[in-house]
Amino acid sequence: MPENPTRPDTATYLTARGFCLTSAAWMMLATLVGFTAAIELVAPDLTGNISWLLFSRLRPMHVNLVLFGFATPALLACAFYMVPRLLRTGLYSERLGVITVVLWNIALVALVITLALGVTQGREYAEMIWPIDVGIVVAFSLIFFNFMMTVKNRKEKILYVSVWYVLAGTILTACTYSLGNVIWQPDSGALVGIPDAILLWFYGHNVFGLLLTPFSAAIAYYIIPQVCRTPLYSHTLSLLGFWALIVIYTHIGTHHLLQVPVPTWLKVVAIVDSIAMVIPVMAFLINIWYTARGKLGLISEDIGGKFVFTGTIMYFIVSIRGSMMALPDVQRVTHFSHWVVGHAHVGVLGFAGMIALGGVYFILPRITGKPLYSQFLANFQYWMILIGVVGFTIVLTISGLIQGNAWLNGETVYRVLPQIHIYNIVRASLGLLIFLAAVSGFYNIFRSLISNPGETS
Amino acid sequence: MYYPFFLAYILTGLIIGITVFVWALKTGQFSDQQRARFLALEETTPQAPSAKVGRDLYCVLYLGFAAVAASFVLVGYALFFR
Repeated sequence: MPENPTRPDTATYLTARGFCLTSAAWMMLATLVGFTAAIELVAPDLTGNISWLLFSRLRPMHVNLVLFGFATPALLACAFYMVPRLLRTGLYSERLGVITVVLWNIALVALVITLALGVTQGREYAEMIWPIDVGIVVAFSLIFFNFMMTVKNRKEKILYVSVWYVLAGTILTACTYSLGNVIWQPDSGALVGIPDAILLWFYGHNVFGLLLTPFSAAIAYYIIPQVCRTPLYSHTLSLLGFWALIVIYTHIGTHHLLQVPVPTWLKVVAIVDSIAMVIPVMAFLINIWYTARGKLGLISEDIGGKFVFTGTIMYFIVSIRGSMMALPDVQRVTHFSHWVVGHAHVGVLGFAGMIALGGVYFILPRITGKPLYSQFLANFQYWMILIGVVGFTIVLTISGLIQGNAWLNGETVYRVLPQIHIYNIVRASLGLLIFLAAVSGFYNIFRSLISNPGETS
Repeated sequence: MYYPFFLAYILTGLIIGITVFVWALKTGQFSDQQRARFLALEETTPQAPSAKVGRDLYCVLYLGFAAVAASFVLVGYALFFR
């Protein structure tokens, strides 16, 4: 039975609170692990032979914790606040939501322990073993069920574009995750040979494109009009962007495999649709930027809006880079180099991470009824992350081009490593900024949710 | 033998996608788009000035100092001891 069928104002937002805290806490560990891994690129012998601190274990831990520990829970927190409000009803079940938060955190603890112990399925972005895979799929299924029942109980007939994005992101991730992790084969979690590569990168790209992108777009579509105090520029255009994303994004994973003997037609589809991504991307950006036109003053005054709007600029950068990187001539230089790592950081931290944090800071005063504990700390976090992610982009792009050109020219690795050494040092230093931003963010979010001295509005 | 799985997935996706699109069309999700533009707008929570900037400032200064110190250690190690 719905617990708050008609009065969203009485909702306690326990699920949103739980996911806010989950994201803030795991962001600290995720960034600490990334920072440690970056140090190991500078000083490979730093941690000696401590097995759980080896780069090969830290790297998947960092990637999975950023994805499932930091970004996704923050996006889910916003979704659990936003969906009931847009549907003018209460969440179907806060109890079920809280159960999901608990299940999510159990999966994350298991993720850290197993990857630290080297228990892995060894497929990029799909390293987790079968029981954790099942936990994540069950969590997404419960979330989808909760949202669908909320939609069923809605008082608003029209589904705003954010609701479309959230529903699609939730169910598509549950399906893609099951398929990509070959969940019907618990022992290996893999197929054999080329089909496995195709499947893995179908999943590998979609776990960003059908999880982080739709949720981030949903939050931007919800927050920017509110911060700007103006209606969305065009709801029709937003729906066009939504359906274009659903149709196009699912085809592009094979652009990770252009140097691999997969069928040529599949490569062509992947490249063409990678370029065609300009349609949903620009539909989204034109809509958001036209909504914000002449309102940048209002955005700069709202810390949530500032994070989100910056995230949309990063989305432009990462999308242009992404489309370019799918071109074989460009990829001949950039593939398997730091360029790709830079691209990933702009996408996950600059775009989805920024919007996720913006969403959290936007909803915190609304779910607690009190002002944010510290605007100052939130602004501090904003600048640390902005400096960090722009710095990452610059140094990783430069070192990626050095690596790519060296490889193209047949240079040996030991002659290239000294050339990129200084960039690795800067990269690790920037990683420290991000970690400190995560610590200050956790303190601010924790105090905003618990023992906030501000007056209730 | 992976084709059946791939085909089943593609077909399932197509069927669900088309079904949802037709449902949206029939229930008027693409009509009244002018009103839909306003759906995100709702009452705004006033932003009161936040508490205790002074203590936070010490906290941030401490973190900044720790960051600079750690960076020096890192760069020093990388340059002189590796």
